Amino acid sequence: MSPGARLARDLPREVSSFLKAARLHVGDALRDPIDLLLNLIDPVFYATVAVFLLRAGSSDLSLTDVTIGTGLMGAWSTVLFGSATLIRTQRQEGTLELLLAAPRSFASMMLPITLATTLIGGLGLLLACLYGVVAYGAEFALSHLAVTGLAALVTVLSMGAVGTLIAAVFVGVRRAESVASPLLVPLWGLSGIIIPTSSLPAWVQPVSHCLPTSWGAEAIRAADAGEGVLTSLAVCALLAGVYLVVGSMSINALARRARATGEASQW
Amino acid sequence: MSAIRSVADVTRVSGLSFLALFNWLRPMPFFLTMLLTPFLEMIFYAALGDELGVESRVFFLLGGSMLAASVPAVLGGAMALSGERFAGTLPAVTVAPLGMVRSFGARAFPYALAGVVSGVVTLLSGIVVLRVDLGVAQIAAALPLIAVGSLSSAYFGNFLGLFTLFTRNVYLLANIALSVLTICAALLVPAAALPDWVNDVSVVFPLRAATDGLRATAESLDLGELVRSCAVELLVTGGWAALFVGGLLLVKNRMRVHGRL
Repeated sequence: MSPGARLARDLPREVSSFLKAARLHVGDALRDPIDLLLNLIDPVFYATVAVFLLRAGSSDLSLTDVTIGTGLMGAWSTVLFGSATLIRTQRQEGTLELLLAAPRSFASMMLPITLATTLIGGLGLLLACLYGVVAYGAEFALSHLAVTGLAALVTVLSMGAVGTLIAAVFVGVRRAESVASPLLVPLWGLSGIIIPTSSLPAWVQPVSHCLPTSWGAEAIRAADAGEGVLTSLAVCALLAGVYLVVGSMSINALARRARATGEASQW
Repeated sequence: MSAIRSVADVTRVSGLSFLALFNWLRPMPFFLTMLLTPFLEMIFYAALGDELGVESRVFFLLGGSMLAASVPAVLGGAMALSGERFAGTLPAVTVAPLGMVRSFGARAFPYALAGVVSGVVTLLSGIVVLRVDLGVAQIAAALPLIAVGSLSSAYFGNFLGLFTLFTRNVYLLANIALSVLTICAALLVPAAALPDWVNDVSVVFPLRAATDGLRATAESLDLGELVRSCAVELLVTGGWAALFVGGLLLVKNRMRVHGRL
């Protein structure tokens, strides 16, 4: 059977399996209301602080920009800590060895978990926007809502793609939360989600452009202003694809090595 | 002699519990979580303030330093009881001859000390990175204010920790409280931008008097203002310590009567 025919035969089964696993992990993430609340408090707090600062200041930034920006800050927080502690969580739940032993690529086991974390992050973004509208009167242009929503979805999913690489980097890190903690602020800054990347020092801007979220944030702002988003969104999706592929390959390589050397116990 | 031994016992127990319950035996996690993270957050909010055209860098430097001092104090204090329960040592501490009030009453000090370290490091590194012009006298005046702010936060955290016996996850409660404190104490937001009722309510919460004093002292060094701010913050500290000890006694009686931990 040719590779193309094999792919056509296996693809529906793979997609179905992926969606089932993603649904399972979303359900798992929603199961504990305390964990969920912890993820949802942050964007509301960030939004409150930023709105008070905006009101006290003299910036051209709109309330809507600030609301979206703080929602993305919360989403980053959820995705970063979720991805960094991904392996540790599986180890604590006693499922790491089962996932490693499954007759599939390890990345295909991890991606639904990353997607679930990303969707919880997206929920935080949605909550921050609702909070901005209800509490502070932020206004979203209804005519551009669909495009803004699409840009926000692609941006949040791109965070998940970066999260895949983060999960690979954090495989052997025992104190994942401590190590991830100082990474959050640089990610906020480099992503340009509330402070535009043009305000960053010149030497940082090329690094910022390597992150899909900086393009995604630009696309969201442009969408809400009724401007074109196609280029920004396409670059965001392309970069997200690169992170996803590199992250998946890294996770698979680490898993192969762990299976060969029996060092999974050290993860 | 017995009083000295008692103080020594309480100090040793507090120090050991701090090291053991929070796994600070290795310095790297402490550096990453309690020093580097609050420093970076302070830099971020200073940059956000610049972008939004609100307040000066000194404002965010001082607020960020006070926030850095309060995080280990509130979270550590809140997890003093839950940490013992998680480690399975709460029943032993409850019946130990040192007594529950003496054993837990002094726990606030190591957390406050960690807060002071975090706050001072954030302040000093922030002065360098943000290129803020703050005199030696102002920096010296900041130390007692950070210390009392940190101590009141630790007792506030201790009080929150009592709820660990009724709720499953006190960490959530501590996080909400920390968010409320950050806003009420005007750490990152100008007090003038807050609603009047928030400014009124904030006087009973930790950090507000210390933060106001910190900013006033940085503007013009006034010993009277420094002493007044420290005294008010200590009064707030006393209030939260009294609430904690009172609550602890209630919980202790409840435990003995119902036989539940």
